[in-house]
Amino acid sequence: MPLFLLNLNKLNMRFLTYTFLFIFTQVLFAQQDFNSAQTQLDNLSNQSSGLSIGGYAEITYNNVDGSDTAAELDVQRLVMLFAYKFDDRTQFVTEIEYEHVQEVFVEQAFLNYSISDGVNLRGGLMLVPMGIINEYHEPTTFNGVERPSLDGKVVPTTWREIGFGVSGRLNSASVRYQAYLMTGSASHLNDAYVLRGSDGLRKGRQKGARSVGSDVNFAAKVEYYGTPGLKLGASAYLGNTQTDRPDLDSTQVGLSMFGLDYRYTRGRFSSRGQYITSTLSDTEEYNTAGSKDLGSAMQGFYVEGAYNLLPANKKQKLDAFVRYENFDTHADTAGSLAVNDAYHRDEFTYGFSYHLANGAVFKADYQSKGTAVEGADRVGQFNMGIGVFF
Amino acid sequence: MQLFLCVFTTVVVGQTHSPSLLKKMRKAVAQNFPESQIQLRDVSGDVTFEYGQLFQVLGQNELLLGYAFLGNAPSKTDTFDYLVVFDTTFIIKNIKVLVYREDYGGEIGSKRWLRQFTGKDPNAHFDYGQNIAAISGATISVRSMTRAINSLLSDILKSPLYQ
Repeated sequence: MPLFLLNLNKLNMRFLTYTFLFIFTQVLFAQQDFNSAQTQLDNLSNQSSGLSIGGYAEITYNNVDGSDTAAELDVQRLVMLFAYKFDDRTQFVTEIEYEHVQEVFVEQAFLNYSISDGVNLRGGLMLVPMGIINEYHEPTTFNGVERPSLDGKVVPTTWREIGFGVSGRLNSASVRYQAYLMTGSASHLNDAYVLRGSDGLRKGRQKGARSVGSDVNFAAKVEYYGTPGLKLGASAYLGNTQTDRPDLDSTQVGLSMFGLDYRYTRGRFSSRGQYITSTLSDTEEYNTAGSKDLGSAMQGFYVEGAYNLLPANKKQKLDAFVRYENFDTHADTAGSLAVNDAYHRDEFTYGFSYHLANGAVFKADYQSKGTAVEGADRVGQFNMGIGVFF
Repeated sequence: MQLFLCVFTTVVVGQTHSPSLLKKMRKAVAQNFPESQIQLRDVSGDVTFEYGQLFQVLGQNELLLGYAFLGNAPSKTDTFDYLVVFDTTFIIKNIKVLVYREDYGGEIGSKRWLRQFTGKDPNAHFDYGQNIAAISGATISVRSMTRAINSLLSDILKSPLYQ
């Protein structure tokens, strides 16, 4: 417990530092406003330019059934969003993330330049548009204390890469699109083969930190929102993993990942689902050279339904939900590698999300996790969490 | 040119809007009327509008064709500009998002979603999640637009322009 308090103190210190930095930058920008006639003119013609801040946070409690493991209490994520708008066309967006209090990451940092209503150019560190959660991962936007496991083991959320591309909306067709050229997950770094069978690409996430760029990858997503209450998405990610030894063929695998998703709301009922399938090429050579067990195909899906137990005209929302997931990071293997049934998993999650206000949620749920291994026991887990998004 | 001067004069006196926004507004208003030339006259002095300015849409010989409202409402971290076009009896003909400035919530610009508001008179009331469909990932902007339209309609009910 003292350790927990100590961590909180550290967090407070960092938060104070941040607050100070923020006030300091505000003062700087304010001074610029006074010193620069051009900025003043810009502000007159455009009332909404300037600095904006936001953030989200998840504080979680996980307790696996059985007395041999202690519960974990964690400030899982604390993310500060800072964006600066130079003018109506040009914006810089950043998200700075504290994970588990002590680890600092940059989750997004990109420059957006709007050419027209429907076309924006983007460059920098951006979220890979694959499935729902990787892009919409703020705790008030999904049910369950933990993100769906499919968006962790198959889609390595929060998956972000450095690159550039184009995004936009066509309101006449109710379509949003994104297409980027980006780096990708690494498969070989510092003399080590990093990918493995249990979670595919996850150990290869480079997070934009001195990331190795041996191959250009392509990521795209199209969303349709023309039917009231329904949003449909189709995603694709194509390319090769990144290696710091491009001279060694065995250090790389090819990757094609496709996703389909939907989100539906009608009155107090809501539902969402996602299907992801991916194939990896040259895994036999990779596994042989690195003594790894990376699968040659990974796939899975989840489907979730929720019902708001409070009347629809109330500001608060109490969503009771149930989610079923089924995913397999060894959907297929190449060569002599045996399929590991423990990597074929299914999960039931049921619980509630109590939205105290728009942007603040208390969550509690129970998960039952199983595998395709014959006779294997299911493992239960109880979770609680506090989430905010502003 | 006459139209441009008319609008420009109006906004210098009233709120500050960028020329590109006003150009967009004029173009979008004109699409709702068959007349080849229209004028916009600021009439929001008669009643205070919470979210923006109301204009009369005038044809030849100052014939009243309808009304246009240029509003600005909050999205998640920014604001967006929208246009509501009415006929002469304040029935909503069309709504359009003119400028949406952030990625989150831009779905409210969907023509099909905005169609939920059209054809209604100022006595109508819109409820998020009931007669206005939610959009996943755009909750804040959906609520904001719904609130802005409700506020506009209730302001119009109070206006001497509405009988």
